[in-house]
Amino acid sequence: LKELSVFSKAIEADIFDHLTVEAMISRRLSDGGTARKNVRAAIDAAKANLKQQAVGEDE
Amino acid sequence: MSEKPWDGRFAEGTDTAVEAFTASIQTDRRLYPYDIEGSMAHCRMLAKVGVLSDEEASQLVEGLGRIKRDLDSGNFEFHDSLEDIHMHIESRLLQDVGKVAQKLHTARSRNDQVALDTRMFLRDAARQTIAGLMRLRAILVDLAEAHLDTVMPGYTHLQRAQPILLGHHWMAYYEMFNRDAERFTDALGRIDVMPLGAAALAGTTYPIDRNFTAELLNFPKISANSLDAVSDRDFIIEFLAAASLCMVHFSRMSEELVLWSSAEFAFIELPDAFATGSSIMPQKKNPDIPELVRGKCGRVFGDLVTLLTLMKSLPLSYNRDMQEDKSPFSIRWIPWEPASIFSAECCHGSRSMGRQCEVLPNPGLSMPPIWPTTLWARALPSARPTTLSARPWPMHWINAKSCTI
Repeated sequence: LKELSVFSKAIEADIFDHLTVEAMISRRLSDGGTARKNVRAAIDAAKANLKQQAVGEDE
Repeated sequence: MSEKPWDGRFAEGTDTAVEAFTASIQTDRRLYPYDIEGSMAHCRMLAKVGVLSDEEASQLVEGLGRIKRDLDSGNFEFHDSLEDIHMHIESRLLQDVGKVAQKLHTARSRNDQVALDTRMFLRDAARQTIAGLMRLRAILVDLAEAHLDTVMPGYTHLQRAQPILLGHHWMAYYEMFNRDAERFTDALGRIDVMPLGAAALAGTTYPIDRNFTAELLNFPKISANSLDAVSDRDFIIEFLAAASLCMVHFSRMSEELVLWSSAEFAFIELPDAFATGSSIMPQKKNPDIPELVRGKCGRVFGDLVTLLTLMKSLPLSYNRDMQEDKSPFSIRWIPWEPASIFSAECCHGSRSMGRQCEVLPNPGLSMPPIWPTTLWARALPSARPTTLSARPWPMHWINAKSCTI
């Protein structure tokens, strides 16, 4: 923390909660971002799309 | 030298070197199944409107069926003197059923006939491509799902930028191939138009039923203008444009597979079935398949430029230049083939990547990318890492980062 606080006084001990790979990914929640929740949603949407097209082909 | 349709008009025969130069049989022979199917439908239509008797029509359709079987089994000789696939089939039909064969050409020209054959060929090609892309997309989604917890470095400028999920990376390719499928589907709507009945260029005096022919050949609509019908090649260009973009996407994916399988990245090991080795350099496992897919782009882009150049400034309607539009058929390769190869390759290849990636991330050594988000969260909207760090970053952070994530 001492090393980090050289850069800004806004940096406090909780910075270490953010400095994890997991946090870096899971916080990128904007639409289309890499957060797991978003990727899950994209996968579900793609599956629905593929299923719909497969039905369309059978008709 | 064989008989020509124009023999009555010319006193001299065609020069044999000219025959070789003008012949297109080596490329358009691939169109034979469509040529025969189109001719059969044309016969049935002519019988329906009374231009042919039912007996004549059945003779012709049966004769065409026999020729199809000969072509299927390879029992058919091709000669430059017969120019193209239409004349080859016509000439064989004449030997097979006699003079009635000449009636097949009633109310039809090779100009509208080749437009029909090409549309039928590309209609199948587009459908197969769309189906191939659908299989590939399904596999990408499965891969993404399997790698929802696999972290990998995300890159910009081919520099490690921010950690991302491997699933997110696969879904980026899903999006690209999804757009490709949409483009092929859109192009298909304009390929799937029946041109027969335009005849040489202006239509025909025979009382033909174009919609009936379209129905027999499963076309949802007929072309609206005879001049356009015999000289439109937009649909080929659109197909090749969609194919070119699709190839761009394959090439990007290939490039990553090549990079990732190198000792420098070591993210994946390609399955043995998709690699080659070297007898004197046993450490090597060459990613030939992605390399070659990358290399195949040249042919597809080349075909697109060929067609665009071919059509530029051509006056209406048909011009012999258009015979050169068959280059997409002269090669055995079209994008759905790597699509299916890739599907398998991705599956095998990415399994090892998953293991490789899981050991990569190391919390605490990922400082730089986190600066902005963390500080934004502290309500310092104007804060920029560069302005904050007026002093240099400790070198051990930078060095550590570069050898972990």
